[in-house]
Amino acid sequence: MDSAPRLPAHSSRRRRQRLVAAGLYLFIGANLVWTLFPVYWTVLTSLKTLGQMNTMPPLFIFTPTLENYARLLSGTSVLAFRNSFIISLGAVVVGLLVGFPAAYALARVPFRGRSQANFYVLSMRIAPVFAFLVPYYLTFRFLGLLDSYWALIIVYSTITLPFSIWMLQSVIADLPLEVEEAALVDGCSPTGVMWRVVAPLSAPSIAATAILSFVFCWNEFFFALILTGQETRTVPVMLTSLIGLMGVDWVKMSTAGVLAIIPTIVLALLAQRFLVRGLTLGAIKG
Amino acid sequence: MANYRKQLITYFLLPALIILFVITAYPFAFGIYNSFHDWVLYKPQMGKPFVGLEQYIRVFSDPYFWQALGRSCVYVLVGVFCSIGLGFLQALAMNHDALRAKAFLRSVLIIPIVIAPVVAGYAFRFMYNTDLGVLPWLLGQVGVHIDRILGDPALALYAVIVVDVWSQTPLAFMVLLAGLQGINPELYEVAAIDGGSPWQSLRHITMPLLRRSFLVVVLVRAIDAFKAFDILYVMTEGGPGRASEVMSVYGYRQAFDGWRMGTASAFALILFYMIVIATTLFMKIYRVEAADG
Repeated sequence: MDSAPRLPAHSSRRRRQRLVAAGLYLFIGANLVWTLFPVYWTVLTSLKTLGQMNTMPPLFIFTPTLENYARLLSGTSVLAFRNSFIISLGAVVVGLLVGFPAAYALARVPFRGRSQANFYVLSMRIAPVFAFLVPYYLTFRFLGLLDSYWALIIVYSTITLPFSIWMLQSVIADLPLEVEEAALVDGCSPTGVMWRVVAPLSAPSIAATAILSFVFCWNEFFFALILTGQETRTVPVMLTSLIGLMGVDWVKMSTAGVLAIIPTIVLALLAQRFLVRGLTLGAIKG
Repeated sequence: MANYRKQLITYFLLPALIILFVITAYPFAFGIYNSFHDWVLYKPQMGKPFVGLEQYIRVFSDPYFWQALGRSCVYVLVGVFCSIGLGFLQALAMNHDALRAKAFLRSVLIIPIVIAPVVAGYAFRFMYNTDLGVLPWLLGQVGVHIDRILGDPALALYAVIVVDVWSQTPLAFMVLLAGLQGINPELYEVAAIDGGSPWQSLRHITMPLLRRSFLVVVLVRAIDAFKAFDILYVMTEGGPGRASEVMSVYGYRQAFDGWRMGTASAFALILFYMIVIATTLFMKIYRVEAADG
């Protein structure tokens, strides 16, 4: 009977562990529901007909239709996706082309005022959109650039350029110096070193920076709401135009919403490793 | 090498700094200039006379400004607290050894952060809808009957905060999970051998070591929540009435409903300095360093 007390003790610990595991899965399960339900419901609504959407209680099981997607993609709303793509890509290219050399210089050359330059770059993360919005609106209005691609590409460069400088600087600073020095000694110009040595070594980070910049621009709304017009409105602005005075076509809204989030979800999952660093602007390496 | 450095600064860094300076300092300076002038866009005959500090006084003496500030504080406090609380619990759960398929679960849990706030706002607005929404129906099934959610002045702001929490929790989750994974597991083993309870480990090992992660996430979340605009604009436009009019929405109405460029510029600068001062104070008090990433 000596061993009798040990056995229950052992199995009670097992039971406790199982209970903890069950609680964990329950908690994570609840969080998955909370996280995914709004997405699930939007996707579901996008597959309904107007009649199927217009019911109470809401329909969970029905014959899905892809017609909403066909109609949206053949309509004028598709222009917004083209605009968003052009504008976001433009701002990403400006951010990288100007930002990458700057990041390289900041990472490699200690100079007076470096921390001030860094702080200036960082303060763009703090500044409210609103502080730039009114001046930009007035300037573009004066220059006749409202409702042009250039307006938003310039404005979004205030997001992508500091972001690219900041992200790439910390990446380049971590690269070993020896290869660059060897290349310099061999008579390679700084430009050559940058493109042939530093760029290939930091290629994954450059790709991640491009992806995250693109996602920021794609999702941006406040600037786009004010600075775009009929011809250049981006996807988020197009969504607001689906709100009519007589009510909202929630089926169309959901369809456009799903199309708006698919690219960002795919891209962000590709750059997942860099997401933490990107969203905290390098404060956390993730 | 000296030549190389000089080349790097002149040809690589300087162009970027000049461009950055032009696209950020120019609008900022223009905003300061505007804030000292009276400029109403639909009254061009009025010109734009210099009025000194009048625009600032106008903003500060507007009771709606102070109400908007109060709502922004609620929005920041409730939103930041809830998203970090939930994100921390998620991170703790995901860091537990008993859990499988972690990479997959992590990928799913972070989805909301990359969804455009505008899309999230409309998705919830549809779910909240009185006549067609899935949420009032679900609540009705469990015996809670709510007439209006976004149309109710007492509920609207909090209903929007729910969406903010939904959309921003992944940030807290990711940062805190990264922090947890950086803690040496041997510390917990030692604590367990010494007879410490899991609760004591959490209090005396996890929390102190996560200090920096918490500070960063509080700072980033608070700044973003104070600037929040998108979700509020698409869900309520600050309404009903002014029930959910936070700072950015107040400014938007000043600028693009009233077309008062001077007043809006003064407001923008006030907002900017509030964020700068709060951020600087926070970083001083808690000794967070900006540039040690």
